[in-house]
Amino acid sequence: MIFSSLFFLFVFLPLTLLVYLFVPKKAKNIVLLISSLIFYAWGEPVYILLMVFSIIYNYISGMEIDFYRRRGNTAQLRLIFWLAVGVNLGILGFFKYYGFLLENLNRILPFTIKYTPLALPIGISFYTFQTLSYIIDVYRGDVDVQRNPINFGLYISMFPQLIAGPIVRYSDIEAQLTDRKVTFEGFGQGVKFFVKGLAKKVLLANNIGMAYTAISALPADKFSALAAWIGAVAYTFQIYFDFSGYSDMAIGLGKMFGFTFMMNFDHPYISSSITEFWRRWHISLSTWFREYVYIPLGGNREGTAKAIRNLFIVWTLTGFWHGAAWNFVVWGLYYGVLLVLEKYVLHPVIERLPGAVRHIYALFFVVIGWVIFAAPSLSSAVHYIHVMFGGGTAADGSAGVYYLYNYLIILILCALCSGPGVTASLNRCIVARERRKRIFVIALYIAAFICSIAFLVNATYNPFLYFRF
Amino acid sequence: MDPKARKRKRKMEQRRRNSYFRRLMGTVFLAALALITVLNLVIPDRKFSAQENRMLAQKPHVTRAGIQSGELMKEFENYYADQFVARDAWISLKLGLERASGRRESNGVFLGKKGHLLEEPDEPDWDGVQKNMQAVSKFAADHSGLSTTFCMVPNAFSVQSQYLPKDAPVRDQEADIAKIRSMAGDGITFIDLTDALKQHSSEYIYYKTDHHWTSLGAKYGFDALAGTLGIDQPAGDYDVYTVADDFQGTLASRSGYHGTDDTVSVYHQKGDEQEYVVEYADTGEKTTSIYSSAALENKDKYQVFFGGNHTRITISTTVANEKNLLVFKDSFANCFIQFLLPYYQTITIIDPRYYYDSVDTLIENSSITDVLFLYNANTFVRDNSLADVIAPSVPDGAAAE
Repeated sequence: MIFSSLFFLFVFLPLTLLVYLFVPKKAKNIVLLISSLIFYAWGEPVYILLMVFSIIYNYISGMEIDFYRRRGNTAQLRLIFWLAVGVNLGILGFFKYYGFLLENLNRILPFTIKYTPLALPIGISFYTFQTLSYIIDVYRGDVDVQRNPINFGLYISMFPQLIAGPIVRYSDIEAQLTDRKVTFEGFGQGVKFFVKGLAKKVLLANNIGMAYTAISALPADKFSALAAWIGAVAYTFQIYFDFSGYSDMAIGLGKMFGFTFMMNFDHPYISSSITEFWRRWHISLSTWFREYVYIPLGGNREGTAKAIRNLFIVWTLTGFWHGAAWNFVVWGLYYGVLLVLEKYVLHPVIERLPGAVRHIYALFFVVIGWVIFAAPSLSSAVHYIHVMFGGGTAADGSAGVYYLYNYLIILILCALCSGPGVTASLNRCIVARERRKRIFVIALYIAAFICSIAFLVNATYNPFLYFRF
Repeated sequence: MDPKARKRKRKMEQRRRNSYFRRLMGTVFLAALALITVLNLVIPDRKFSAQENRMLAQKPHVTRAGIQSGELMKEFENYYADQFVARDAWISLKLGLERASGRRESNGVFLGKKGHLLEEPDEPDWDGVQKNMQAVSKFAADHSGLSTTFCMVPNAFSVQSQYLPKDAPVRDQEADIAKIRSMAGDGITFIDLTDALKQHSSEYIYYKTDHHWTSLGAKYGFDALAGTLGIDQPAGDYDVYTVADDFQGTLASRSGYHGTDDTVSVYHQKGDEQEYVVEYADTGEKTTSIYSSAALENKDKYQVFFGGNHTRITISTTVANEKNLLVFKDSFANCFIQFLLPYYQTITIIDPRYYYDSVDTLIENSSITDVLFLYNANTFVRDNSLADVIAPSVPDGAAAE
């Protein structure tokens, strides 16, 4: 099930809320666990078994790790720990990368291995990273083991963040699992986040996404440089509003149920360097890689050469995490190269540039990055970029002009909403002395909700972009 | 009051307002959820949407297999969306928002100038086209005794490009048709109606709200095609009857834009006294008119011609000229047939999308003398049924030999 659907909004959510808000505190976790399992099974009726297995296995492994840690049995501790890491990564690897591996093996081997590509279980990359963070933290003694299977199951499967993040670390949520306040004010705050996220996904991302879809399907004689740029910018906005909209909805739903999740996006497109961009984009993923890969590898404490090596390992993995295809690997390496360059070469130069130039520099590479990311294959990414820089065979730029007419208003709206200004001024209105300002903001949220429903009722285009994650 | 206390007071007030706002937000949201959820439960389901011109999804049956495959859940979500309270109003709101944001197309339909809606061309399936054209060539070669004509009708976006939104990127359909012609080879007569229709491009030759050509467009097509069909002196004068002036066609339904009405006319050659019988193979019905007045009561008034598409239609006229025509066609032919009536003893019309019987048997039994393939280009480039009907890969009787 996805949040941006009528069924979720008007069947699943009201039912879950109704039960959740009225059961006593003790029963709230089990209600949320059951509804999360239903939520997942609704879209993945078979793979729910995989997730349940993952929950049970990691629950037991956590207990065992804790047991051997207390007894000081290092050999057993290490064995159980690495087994758990292996099993979790093995499951992820099998379902996500098996087809990719065989496809590439078949290219180089003299014979062909037959295989049936598996459907990727939705959200597996997100929940595997959550189980890993738990196992590692318990192993390191950073957190206490979770002895309550319901609480543990809820941590892994909690539906607000289950299928598209944020990747919640166990340590961030441990206390909330046993003790949290569910207040009506918190509920209202959640609604605010949720409606904002829904509007970002349905009104902005889906609409601007149609421009990219149409432009990338243009025949060669219409595919001009202008059209290619509009398409690339359109996708840049689509992925941001889609992904951050999803995170906002997740944070909002979490709040409705009394949970506080970390912020996942912090206006990444106002960045003035690539380093800053990655501090603001998909924060929970970058944090995860820093915490569980980069720092354990030595981070930047063991000299420049090792630091660069570590960065490249992290960014190859980051790229690969986004999907089992070469363009994701290249996209990850692309950022690895840019970040290393920024850190060790360009840093003093960039420092001295005027703000506008730095901003353009960062956005330019981000947009090119998204072209690599969005393309169905590496060769089509190369072709697309080639056309952006005048390598196309279009007779004229008329198609680009047409899409500019069609999407100019949405593009401007997207640009406005990418910055922190809109939210900041709305928040000022909310606490302003004048009552009418508050009413205005409420009316704006209601209008956004109504318009989102209109687009969902006749959803000709409502993609789920993370099916490859 | 000292500044510190004032600041604290201001903070407290802001917090109070924020809290008030959140609680109001929560109340409004819960009320909206409850209201819409209850309305959806209470309001009875609809079978058909006149605005969208399609059957709406009904409550799915729960089966074990449906749950396991996830199909049931998808069906249920479709059902829920289709039966959503005030669906038509939501759709209109969406279209209004899209238009206000400057969008000049909706769901594969260009919102063109002067109220014209134009279908966006599809990406051709060239493998399928190649297969079909090879089959047509083979058919013509195998039936060299018959006079075979292949007629391709261009679409509005190509002929009436002046109505497209400014700078709209569309395929070069003339080039596509030329490519199809080159696939046909020399064995058949290939007629491209683009030039004939372009001469009249400012006239009412395509519906504004439907993807078909009008009867006037079909008449110009007939004038251009008559010579090739061996009709030396086509009639020039027709009685034109307007049978509907409030037609809103498939493009209106698809785009959701209902601002324009179309007029449907039928043509009858002046002085033609011939009578005929129309037989529908699929329904077993027999009538004395190719027009279905019942269709005029429905939404899709283009169905006034034959009441829509049928697997096989046979028209027997009182013309005794021994000319028996076989037509392979899509729905563009439905309004074209009216111009052929005075010139053939029988006309057999096959829609290969629904036809599975042997064509050779039919040709023999009906003493066919002429064959016409009549397709609009945009349907033909996506068609995958013609080749299987006219040149089945396993010929009849092959298994017995």
